[in-house]
Amino acid sequence: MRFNVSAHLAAIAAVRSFDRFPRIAAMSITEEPPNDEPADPGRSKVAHRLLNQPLRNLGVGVAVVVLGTTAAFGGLERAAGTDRLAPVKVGVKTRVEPYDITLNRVVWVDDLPNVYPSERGNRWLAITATIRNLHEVSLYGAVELAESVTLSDVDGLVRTPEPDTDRVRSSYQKLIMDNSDLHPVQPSIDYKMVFLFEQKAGTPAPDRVKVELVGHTWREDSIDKTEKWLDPTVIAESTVPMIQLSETSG
Amino acid sequence: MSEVRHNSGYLRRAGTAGLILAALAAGRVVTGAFQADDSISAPFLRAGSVGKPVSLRYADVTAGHVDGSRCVSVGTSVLRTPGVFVVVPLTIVAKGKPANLRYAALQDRQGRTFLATGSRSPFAPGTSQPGLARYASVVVEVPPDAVAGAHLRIALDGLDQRRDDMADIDLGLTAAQAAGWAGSATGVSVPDAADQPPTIRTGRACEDQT
Repeated sequence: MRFNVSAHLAAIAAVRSFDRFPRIAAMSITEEPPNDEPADPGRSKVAHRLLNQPLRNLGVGVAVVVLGTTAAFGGLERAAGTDRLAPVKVGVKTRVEPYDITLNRVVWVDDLPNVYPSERGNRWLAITATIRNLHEVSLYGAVELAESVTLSDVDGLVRTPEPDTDRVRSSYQKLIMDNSDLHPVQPSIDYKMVFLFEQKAGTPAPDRVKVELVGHTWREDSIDKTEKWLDPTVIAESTVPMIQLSETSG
Repeated sequence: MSEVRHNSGYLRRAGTAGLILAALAAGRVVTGAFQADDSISAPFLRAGSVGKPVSLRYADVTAGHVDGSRCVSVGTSVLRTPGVFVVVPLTIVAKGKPANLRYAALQDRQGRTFLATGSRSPFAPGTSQPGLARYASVVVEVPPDAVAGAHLRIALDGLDQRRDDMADIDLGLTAAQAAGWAGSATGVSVPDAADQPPTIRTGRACEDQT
């Protein structure tokens, strides 16, 4: 009786590897002869060696290939929102695309002339600001501008937060000099205006509010293929004191 | 022999597909390089000047004497601005069928576009009947440095002006006029749109219009 020692050893090795890596080892047992040569003359040595690799090695290789592929599409770029946000500073001009915005005062007031709340007795949380449209075309006050300054974590606001966020946009954006709605926002004009947030009467006025400055990106809309200011992203946030506007404080 | 023919069939098909993809890619590169997309979709500008009718596909449009101020009264509202308001009276005569012009904007020398839309830069001429004059005004808020050399643009569709006539009227404005308007204490009263010519109304002092 003739005995092929090398084939026997290969079979033992295959069975042992089956214990650790069942799929690869099983293929070795069923598809490969008990020597080092490929069974199929059409199969390359590279493929043969790959199939003989432990699954762990193949997994690492596949992961490297997948990561390399995603890198080509921006996978290795810094993810949005991972940077530490800058603080909101009252009195300091900040680039909040497509605007320059300087927050001037953060106050609350029980009522304002010629501005009517949705329910009698509601109060106004007001952020006065100087804003300038940096774009070369008019912008809509109720869209990008309303999104640019928001409040979070304030009880009793009448408006609901933006979808999937805690940010609440203002109810009105008014020009201070004539009390008109700031719409449109023309390019290259410094407007002194106020963002008005309506708060329900039964809720105490806050002594501090969390303010966010929200920038946008000019890019093509994937749906209608027109360029717009999209992707609102918080670029600065802080919790700042809010005081009552009195006649003496203006 | 048949295997060779089989392979050549695959090669021919792959080559055809490659050529089609190459042609599509080349077309995209050419249109992108020469901005053909923009020129194809751009409005057809019809040049004009103040006092002369501009003939458009849907109407004849004539711009009248241009005025300006740092405050205007529109309807029941008084508007003030840190810039200036430019007020352009228009006469619109629709062609063939009623027309409601919804686009107006000032284009300045720097390429900025100031839309006449919304409450602070109103343009609401209403419907013009064919053959009958409709009188309206364009009010546009601009920074003073946008006035000199500004052109008024008028079109039918407020949202989409592509591939249609657009009036492009040189308003003949100067920097001196802009400075005068920015420093003026007299406001401009803007008449409502109507089928009758507006009566001349003297502007009131800006400070008195509150």
